Amino acid sequence: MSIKIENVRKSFGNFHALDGVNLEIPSGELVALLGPSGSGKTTLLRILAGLEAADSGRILVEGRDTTEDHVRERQVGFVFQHYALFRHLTIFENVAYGLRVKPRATRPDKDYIHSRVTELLKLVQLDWLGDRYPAQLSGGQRQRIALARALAVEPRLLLLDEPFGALDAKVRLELRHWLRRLHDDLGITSVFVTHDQEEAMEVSDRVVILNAGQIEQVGTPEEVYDAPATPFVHEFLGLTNLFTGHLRQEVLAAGRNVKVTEETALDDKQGAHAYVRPYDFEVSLQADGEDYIPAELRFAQTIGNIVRLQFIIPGREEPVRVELEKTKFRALRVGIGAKLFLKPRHVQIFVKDRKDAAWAGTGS
Amino acid sequence: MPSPISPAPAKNGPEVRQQTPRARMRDAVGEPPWMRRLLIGLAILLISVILLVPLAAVFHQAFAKGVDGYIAAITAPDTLSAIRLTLLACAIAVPFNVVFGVAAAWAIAKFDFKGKNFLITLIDIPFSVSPVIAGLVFILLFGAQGYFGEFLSEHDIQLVFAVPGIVLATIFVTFPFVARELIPVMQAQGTEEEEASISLGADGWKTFWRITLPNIKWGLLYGVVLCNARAMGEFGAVSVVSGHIRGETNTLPLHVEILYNEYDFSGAFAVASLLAFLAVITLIAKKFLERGVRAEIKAAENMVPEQGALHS
Repeated sequence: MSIKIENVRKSFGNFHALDGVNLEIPSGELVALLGPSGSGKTTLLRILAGLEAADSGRILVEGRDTTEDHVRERQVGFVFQHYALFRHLTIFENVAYGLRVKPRATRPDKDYIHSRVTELLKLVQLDWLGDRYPAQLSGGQRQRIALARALAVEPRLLLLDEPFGALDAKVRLELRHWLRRLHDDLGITSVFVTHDQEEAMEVSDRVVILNAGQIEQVGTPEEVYDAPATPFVHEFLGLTNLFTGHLRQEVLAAGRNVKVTEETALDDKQGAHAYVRPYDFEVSLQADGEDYIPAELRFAQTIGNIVRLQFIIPGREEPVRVELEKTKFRALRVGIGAKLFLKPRHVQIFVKDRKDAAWAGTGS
Repeated sequence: MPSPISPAPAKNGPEVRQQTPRARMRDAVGEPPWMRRLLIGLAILLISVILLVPLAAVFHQAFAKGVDGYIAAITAPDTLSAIRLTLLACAIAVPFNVVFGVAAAWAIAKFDFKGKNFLITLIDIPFSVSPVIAGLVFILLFGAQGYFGEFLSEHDIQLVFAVPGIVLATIFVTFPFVARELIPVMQAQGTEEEEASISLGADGWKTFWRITLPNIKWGLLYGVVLCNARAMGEFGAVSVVSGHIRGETNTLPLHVEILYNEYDFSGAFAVASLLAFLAVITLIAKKFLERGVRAEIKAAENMVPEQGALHS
């Protein structure tokens, strides 16, 4: 089921949760709504479900306007952040609920309900828990039951609100892969909300990055990571180092081997932002050319196979964060206080266009 | 007797030894033993003087003329009539307040609307207004000289000094009990389950019967028990609107007063013992139901592992 969101706005008092959102979701895709808290992602999901009404704008489902449809009529499966299982009903009855409350005319008979629920419980690999109550289940099990319950009514669209938010790290990882496989098997158009960029990148076909009620970028995980449309997207998708400054004409034109020198780091006249990810630095003992930045090692912390370093560059307050493989760092044979040279391998540059305040990005 | 601080002697066996760490911990954070005993002793003394002795006195006085006198007192026609009237008032007031209380709590806990705080204040008025004043208000409104008095007498409707007035006064004073009990339970439970139900295709009515009501059943029963106890025991408001017509507009508490004023002490206490007995039953039911209510609220907290988690 394809969905088209047209210019949707929603405010709560003075707070603009959604500020003119346009988005198309092709049929059968698994889409992640990614953004920090307060970015409007949950509001957008709830508007899609019909649990919240948009102030203006339209939602088209396969070309038909469904903005006014009641939640019941939308054929949407909604998985809540805290699962919202019916605590007084057994797991079996929880999953059967959607079938049992159908109007008499369309309500399936008991045998069908029984076989359908059993089938769904097998699908989520929890058919042995049918007569337990929600309180007796672990978080991961509740999550899967919530999904089975939503699937029971054969939704055309599956919406998941922070589906893994309340789970511990290991279960979260397992469930992510499981959700991806399930989606590939069932092929239901699905949208899930997350504030975890890793989760969004790993699970989804397409990532929608929201910030302050507006969409910053839509694209495949590779697209948004490799070619972020705005500084926000770049910053949100992982740890990074920001260098603000004046970038010389020939450097922008060349598009490669950007020099981030002392001079560029200090001059802010042109409003250019250059980003370098911590793992995109070369660290060496001597400068081999003029692209090298002299830096002093202030901090080193080994985490598993990598070493996190912080360097101080003269004239810059923020330390530069660098990540090196442990073996590479050992090979340098240096300690805190060492004077080294940094060379950025890959720089993401954004130049602010003064006229419409849009960002033009370029990689090198 | 060994003091709680001293380590348990070996001869007392493993049972006592298991408790020792806990006793020691209590000691580390608590008051010295003499202080504890003094406070507990004071509390017991106070409860005895204020609650237990009077309760015993009621039953002692009730049987002052023996079992036969007791039975005679509570089977007197006027007493039976008072019992019937009290039961009737409860039979109307309690269901009314159940319906109103559930509806009000549902609206307050599950929806956001303008004037919500005003509604909560409104529900609390019977708690803050003296029952006598509540009764007087009804006289002022529906009495012969009242605002609606002329209209009522024209249509031959008798509200005050009659059964309808007593029912009205009872409803008024018991108004907050069910709603007040349900609001915190429903607020703890939030609205996610109802939203889940609706997204699964249930309409509002089915959602209420299948999801909301089962989740609040203990809180509701608890509210009903408190409401019922108050309805049966109400004196002030009912006294003003009743008119004290023996055998017609006398409820149990009013009847106790009449008997007492007529120096029929054993009769008064015999009837009072019925109310005291009701109080004891209420206490037992309350104790039993409280456990259910706590479980309901605790279950609500368990179902939401991260309270106030990020909603963006």
